[in-house]
Amino acid sequence: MTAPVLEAVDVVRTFGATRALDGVSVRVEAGRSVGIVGESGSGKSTLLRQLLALDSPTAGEVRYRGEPLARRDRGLLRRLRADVQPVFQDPRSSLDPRMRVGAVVAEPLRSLKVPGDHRERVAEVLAAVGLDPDVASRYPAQFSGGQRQRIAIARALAPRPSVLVADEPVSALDVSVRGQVVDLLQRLAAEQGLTLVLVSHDIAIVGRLCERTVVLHHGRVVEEGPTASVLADPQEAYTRRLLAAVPQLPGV
Amino acid sequence: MTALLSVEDLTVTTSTGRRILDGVSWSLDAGGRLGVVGESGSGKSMTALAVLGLLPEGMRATGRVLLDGEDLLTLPPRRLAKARGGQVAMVFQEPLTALDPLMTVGRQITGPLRLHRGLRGGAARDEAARLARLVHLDDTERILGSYPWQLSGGQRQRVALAMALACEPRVLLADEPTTALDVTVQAEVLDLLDDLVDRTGVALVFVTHDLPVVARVARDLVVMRDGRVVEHTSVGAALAGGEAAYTRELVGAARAVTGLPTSGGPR
Repeated sequence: MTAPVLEAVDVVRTFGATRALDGVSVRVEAGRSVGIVGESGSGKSTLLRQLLALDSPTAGEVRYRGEPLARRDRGLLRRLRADVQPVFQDPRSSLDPRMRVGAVVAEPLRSLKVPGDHRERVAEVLAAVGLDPDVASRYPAQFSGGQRQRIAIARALAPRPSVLVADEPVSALDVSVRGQVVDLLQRLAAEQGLTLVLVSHDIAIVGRLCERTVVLHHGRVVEEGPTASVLADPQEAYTRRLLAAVPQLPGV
Repeated sequence: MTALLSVEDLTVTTSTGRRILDGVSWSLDAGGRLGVVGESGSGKSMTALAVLGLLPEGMRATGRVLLDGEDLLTLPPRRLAKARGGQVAMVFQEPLTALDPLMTVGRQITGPLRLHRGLRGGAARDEAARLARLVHLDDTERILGSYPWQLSGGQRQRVALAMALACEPRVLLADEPTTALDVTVQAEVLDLLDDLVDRTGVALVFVTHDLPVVARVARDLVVMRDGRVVEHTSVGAALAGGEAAYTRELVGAARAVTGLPTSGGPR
C-alpha cells in the first residue's frame, strides 16, 4: 500500500495558551477528495497551513508521500511546492493586480524553475479552466470574480501538481458563479486525476465536491468519514448541529 | 391600507452621471417582512443606504422614500437624523464597524436611549438591561460592562440589534446581518430576528445575497439586478418558480449550491 500524499499525524499547534490544533490526524489519499469543514476557531486554516508546509507543528508530524516534513529537507520541500498547489478564497487579493494574467499564471513555472515552453503551458491551463488564451495579455482587474478564480485555478494547475489545496475557493463568489467554479474543480479533478483538499466553512460545498469529510471543532477532529454518511447519518452532536444550522430553501 | 414605508421610482446617480439605481419601487406594510435579494452590484445595499439618507459623497437620489407619507429624501437634515435611528433603525453586516471600540456596550446602548427617548441615569440603565435580555444576552451585567472586542461575533450582532431596537423603531433595516457569522451562530441570530419581529411588531427589510437565509425570515421578496427591481413578489411564489427568468435562475443556483445533497457525496 502506498503512503498517502499528505498526512497529518497527531498534529498539535499552539499559539501561546491557545491550542489551535489539538492532536489532529488526517490522511489524504492520492486521487481522492477530502473536505475539511469547520467554523471560525475550528483550526481549519491552521491545519491547511500545516498541509501546505507553511507552518510547522508544535508536536506531531506532517508527512508528504510518507516522508516527514519536519526534517526541513529542502529537496522534499521543493517537490512538495511543485506538487501541492494552493487556491485561495479571494482572487482579488491572491492575484497581483500589476501583473498580466499570462505572467500571473506562469509565476509558479518561473519560481519553481519548471523546464519547457511556459507560454504554451499557460495557454493550455487557461483553456483547461475555460478561458480564451487571449486573456493572458490582460490584467486581473478586467475580470469578474468568477473569471479571476478561474485564473487562480489555472495558475495552480500550471506546474502540473497532483494535489490542489483549496481554501474556501467559492465563498467570495456570487451564488450563480459558485456552481460553475464547483463544477470546474470537479471536472478538473476527474479529468486530471487530481487529489483535492477543500477547506471550507460551507458543508454544502464540501458535500458537492468531496468523497470524504472531516469535521473540525475547537482544534479536534470530531467526525470523519465518507461524505455521504457524514451528511446522511452524522454520529456526533456537533455535526448534527452544524447540518441543522445550514439554511435550506424549502422544497416546492 | 397605505404602506408604512414605500420606495417610489428611486434612482441614484453618481457624480459622473452613472445610474446605480434605476427606478426602484417597492413597499412595506406595518409589521411586514420584506427581503431584498440580489448578487454583487445589484444595488441592494445602495437601496438601503438611499432609504436611510446615507449615500456616499457625490451620489444623488431622486424619486421618493415615503415613511408614513413623509418623504425622507426631502426632509431637512435634522428631521432626517431624528427619523433615522428613531423610526428606521439599521443593522449592518459587520457589527465591529457599527460599534465604538472605546465604549462599553452598556454606554452604546444607552446612547440612543438618551438621544431619542430622553432616558437618563438609572432609567436608561434599566432599559439597556431590558434590551440586552430582549436579544438574549443573558449574562447581562457582564455584557453591558464589556467592550466590543471582548465579545464574540454573535454577541456583537445581538448588541447591534439591541441598539437598533432601543428607540422602538417602526422599521428595522438589516443589511447582510448574518453574513459574517458562523453558520451555527447565524441560525441563532436568524431565530432571534424572527422572534423580535413577532414580539415587537417592527417591520423588517432584510437585504442579502443569500436566498436560503432570506427565505427563513421574509415573507415578501424584491429581486434586484443591475440597479433595477426584477420582480416584487412573495418568497413562496419565487421559490415555486418566479415570473422573471432571473428569479428562477437565482433560485436554481441557490438550490444547486447551498442545498445539502440528501444522498450526499459528489457525482
